[in-house]
Amino acid sequence: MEKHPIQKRELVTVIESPVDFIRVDQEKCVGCKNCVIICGMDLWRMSNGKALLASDYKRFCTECASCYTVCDYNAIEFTFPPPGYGIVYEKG
Amino acid sequence: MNSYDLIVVGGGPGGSAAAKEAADSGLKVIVFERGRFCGEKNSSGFGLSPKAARDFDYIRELDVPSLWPTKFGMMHIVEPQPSNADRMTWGLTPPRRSSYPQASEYMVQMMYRAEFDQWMMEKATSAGAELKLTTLITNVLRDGEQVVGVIDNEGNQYQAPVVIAADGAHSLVAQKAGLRNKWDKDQVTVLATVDFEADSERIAEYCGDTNVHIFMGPDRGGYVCVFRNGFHVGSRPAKTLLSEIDAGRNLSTTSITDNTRLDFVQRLIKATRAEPREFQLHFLPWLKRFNERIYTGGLMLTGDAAGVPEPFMAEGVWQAMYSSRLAAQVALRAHKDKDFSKAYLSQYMEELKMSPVGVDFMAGTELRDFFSEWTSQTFYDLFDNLADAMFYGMLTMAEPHAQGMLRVPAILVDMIPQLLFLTRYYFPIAEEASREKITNFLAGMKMMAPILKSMMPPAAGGK
Repeated sequence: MEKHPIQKRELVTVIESPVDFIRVDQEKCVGCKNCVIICGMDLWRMSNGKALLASDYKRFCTECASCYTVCDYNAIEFTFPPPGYGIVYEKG
Repeated sequence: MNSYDLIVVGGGPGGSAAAKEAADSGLKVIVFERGRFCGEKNSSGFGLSPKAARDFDYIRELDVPSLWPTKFGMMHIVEPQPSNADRMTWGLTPPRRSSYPQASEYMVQMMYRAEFDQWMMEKATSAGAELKLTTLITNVLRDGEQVVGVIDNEGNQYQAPVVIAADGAHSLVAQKAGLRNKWDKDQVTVLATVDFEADSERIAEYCGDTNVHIFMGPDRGGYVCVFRNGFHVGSRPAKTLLSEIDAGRNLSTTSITDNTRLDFVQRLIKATRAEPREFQLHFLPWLKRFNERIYTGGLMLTGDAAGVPEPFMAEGVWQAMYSSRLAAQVALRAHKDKDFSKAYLSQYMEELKMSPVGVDFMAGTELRDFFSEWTSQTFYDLFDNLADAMFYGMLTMAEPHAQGMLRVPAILVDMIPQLLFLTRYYFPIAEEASREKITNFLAGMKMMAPILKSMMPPAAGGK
């Protein structure tokens, strides 16, 4: 067995944003799963045929905006966490 | 209202290069960075190419703790899953033939982005630029169609006749200025990277001069960048978000654990007693064609915000620095001519398109398609056959040498489909490149024509 399976969630430092910075419009979502496929932190899943963002996403999201980019229906709104919050790359 | 001659949004290498250029020429410049320090939101990808030292004098003095210029790099063709072995491996030193000294000294300069970005910003602030950290620019100020400043997340307004937006792939400024809503899925890629912590003495002992590994195989690919005090294992299977969606899985991010399992990576991890330290996702534009929508009245986009990473490997740091400095030079001219209109700033786009940054896009869509094929089965088969031609044919120790040699023609015949596949990409790319050369050659000849004429003896019968 190899020495290091990569535990992504244990390897990100995120200062949890006090406010939401990703919003999903359930009316616009058609359940295409693009966001579920693309998220490198596995923060999306399907629920009743709609995309559902993990309730603790603010602790793990790396702000890459892939989910926003792949949404063909503009159902996902993405900004950035307020300055001073969010992902910290010390060794980027 | 806070007033400046130039506002730069984004404190990465692009923002710093723009701010330094403008501040050196006496403009009152402010830079906004959303991180608490420059580089906090950035991942290095694959180091700094020698083009940076060629084009920026101050890069020749670059000195940060993790910096390690690449004198030797390894290329690994890795076997298909589930194997973790190399099928073929070879090493490379910088090219003997090169058009400038740094290109022969090192292939790339490896260093952590937090260190590099802060070093770059220090160049800008020592030149007189003001830096405002922990500030997110969320909108632009407008006067009609003209951008005349920016607004931060707390509603503070900053005014300048010209703004350079170097605020990254997901540029809020580009969106608010109406230059782009979002990238198309076929215009972007994402890489996953794991940083490992390791002792610098063990790294030096195990790696020697080798601080870069590039690897590829069928549906797998990536790199290892070794710094003085740690290393990155990166995942780069050369897929766009569109192809990931089409395939129903995100290989760029799921393959990172598989990449750390490769035999040569495990050897590095074990020999240096490395421990994983940080996981990163690196989202970047990877365009097939030069993006022309990078300016409007009072605003120029640079770096990832402009989509300048080149269409082959998606190198972007030098491109960010080059485009940003050019934008600063155009801003300086605009101040001199007191013209910040969209028509005036179009010269930034035109000049960038003709610059070495733009030239990389001249091969059309072939370059990016070609790179995507490097992680295909066909590309792997090429090296698989090549390895057999070498070690089952020419260098065999399994059979008499003459018999081994006789196998080579049959192996070469097996390689024909792969060679044809290579030429399918090679010729269109070469054709574009040579067309460009012919145009330059003809332009040069035209300019020389009067000189040549003046040197010629007068025609018979003349005065």
